Amino acid sequence: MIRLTSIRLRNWKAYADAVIDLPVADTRNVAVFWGDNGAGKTSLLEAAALGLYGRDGVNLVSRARRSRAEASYDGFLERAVHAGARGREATMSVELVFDGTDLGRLSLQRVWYFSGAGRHLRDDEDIRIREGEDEFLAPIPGDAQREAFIRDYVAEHLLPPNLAPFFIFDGEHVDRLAGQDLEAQVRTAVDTVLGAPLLRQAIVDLRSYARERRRDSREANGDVLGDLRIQVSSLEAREDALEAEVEATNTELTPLRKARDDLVRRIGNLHGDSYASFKGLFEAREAEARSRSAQQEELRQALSVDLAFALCGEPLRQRAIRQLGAEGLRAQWEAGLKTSAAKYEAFLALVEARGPIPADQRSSLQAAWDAVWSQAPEGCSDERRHSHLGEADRHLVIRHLEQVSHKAGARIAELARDVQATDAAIQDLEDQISRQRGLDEQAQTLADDLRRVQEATSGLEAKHRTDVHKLDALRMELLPHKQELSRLIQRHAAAAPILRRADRAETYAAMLEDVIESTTPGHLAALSADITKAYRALAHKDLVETVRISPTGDVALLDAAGRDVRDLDTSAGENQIFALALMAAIADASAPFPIVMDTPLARLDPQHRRNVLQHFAGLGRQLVLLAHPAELTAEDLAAIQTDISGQVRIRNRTVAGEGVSRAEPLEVGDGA
Amino acid sequence: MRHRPLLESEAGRAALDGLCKPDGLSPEIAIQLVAAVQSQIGRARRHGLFDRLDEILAKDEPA
Repeated sequence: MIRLTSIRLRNWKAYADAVIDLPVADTRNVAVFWGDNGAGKTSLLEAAALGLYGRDGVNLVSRARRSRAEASYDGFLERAVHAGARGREATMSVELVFDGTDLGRLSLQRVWYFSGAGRHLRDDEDIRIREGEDEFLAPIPGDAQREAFIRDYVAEHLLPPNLAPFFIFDGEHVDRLAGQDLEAQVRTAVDTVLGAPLLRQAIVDLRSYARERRRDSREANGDVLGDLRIQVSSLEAREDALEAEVEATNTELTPLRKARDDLVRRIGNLHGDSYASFKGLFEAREAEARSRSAQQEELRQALSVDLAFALCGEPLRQRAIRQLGAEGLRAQWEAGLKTSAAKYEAFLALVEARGPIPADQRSSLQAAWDAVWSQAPEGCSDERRHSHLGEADRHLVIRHLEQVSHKAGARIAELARDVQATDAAIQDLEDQISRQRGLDEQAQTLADDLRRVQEATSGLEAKHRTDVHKLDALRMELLPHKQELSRLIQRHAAAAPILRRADRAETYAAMLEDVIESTTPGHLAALSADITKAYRALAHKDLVETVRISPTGDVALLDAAGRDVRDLDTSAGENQIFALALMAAIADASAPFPIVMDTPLARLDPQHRRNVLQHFAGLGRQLVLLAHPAELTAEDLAAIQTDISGQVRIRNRTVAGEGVSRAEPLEVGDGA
Repeated sequence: MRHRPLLESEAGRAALDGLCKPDGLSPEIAIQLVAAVQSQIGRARRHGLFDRLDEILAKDEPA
């Protein structure tokens, strides 16, 4: 017989730190825990459930007491932390110590870790198994296999999880079972025993899986894919055409660009060294030409004027000089005569102011005036042959005639030589320029070629740019379509195996359904004998001789005459008794594991209550009874007095503002 | 102990083997599928169950 000998709790619900040793004795198998509401009885049942099964144990915990937040394992744990450790980094642990297992003493400890915010992170927990009196720490594999290992370990050495609802239960669990008709109770119980809820969950999940995978695959069906292919194909055709145009333009551009580069290079080579010198030559020639013009003009003048003066000889040049000088004197004299006449008129007016002048005296006066003031100077010419010359011109001519007289021949010869030299220089420069111009003309030809090539290139490059922009835009348009097509093609390709797997999942689901359906009848029928024994022990009306369960799950409570007593008499407590009988029958035929029972007796009358207590106490396994003082009477206890190994009182006291539960052994004679 | 989970009991295993055969199903795959579902029990969010089923069923693909 496996016995639960100790429960060690740390930060578990109202138990801050508690070691609860269960009263055990070799011949007595019932441990009674008394406690008022809220004292911590249910916390012990929950510790047993989660300590044994962890995540799988949540379903054993009263559903009615669990809030919505506690529906999940992690949520339940976060609210199970002792108030003093809640909302901060903490550990919570439950250790269950058993003896009588196939390994002897066996300790199972689960430790849950909580973050600073009081959150339990997924799978953030440890489990430690100590085997034997030496508390040998059993090796546990890593994360991936740990859960399955622990599940199998507990199933093998303690109790399989499918049977746990028949060993660890409270009144709500019994009420839930009893709330169904007998047939449903049997079917539920057999389902539970067989682990059918897990199989049914697997069936549901496999069918959900199949539905979801098919839904995903529908996106990749042929129509959608076909339409998209056409759209992409059309865009790709445009892309190809544009690419071809871009390529053709490139093909045309390549030789043009090469020709352009070549021309530029050649022009660069031509001009690179000669242009500056060409400019210099040109400017030098211009300067020489200007110089020659000046020389020619001087020579022309020399030839047209000076040469004649030179050839006329010195005597003539001197006569001309004298003549011009005499003409100059005459010009001065003639100018003086005008002044003299004006002065004579003024003089005559003065004389006549003194009295009239007789006519004969007037001419004498005129002659005397002229003799004093109007005599021609010496050297004055008799006439003016060069009356067109003014005073200044006359001086220039005279000076020129004086110079020509000395230098005219030499100067003309010099000017002629200068002109000749300048002509030669100009000729030389023009020769050089001509050679240079030959190069320039070549460059001009090249430049013309370059212009033509450049025009052709520019036109093509503009077209190329336009085409490339169009191509880029088209590709931008095409890209998401191609990506979508690629995704759909992949999905389409992947869809076949996905759909096969979906079909397969459905087939497995149907097969599992068949497995349940095909095996349940045998188990249903096999329950008849066990439940008959239990039911007859629990029911105080000794009417039922046999409980018959058909392979289809029909239940008949038969009397000795083979009649179904339910046709004759129905009792309000019948379903409750039948549920407890069913649980006892299954527990009795299962592992020798302790039964932990939390107040399942409230609905029963005293006789049935005692029947239940006696029957469960007599199942040959440890019975841990968690009871409210009002639930069990002294008479009830008396019915199992010889089976009670000890009693423990659970109290919840306020310590430092927090409720803390403690378990205290009750001595014989203590009142519960 | 009479009451063993269905797929661990002799009768259950025999039924599984027998019912797998006509459809060419694998009893081992069936057990793995159930184990995958079992490993998700108690989890608020059923992380990766379908991916795990994919993995298991992929092994069941015809060669």
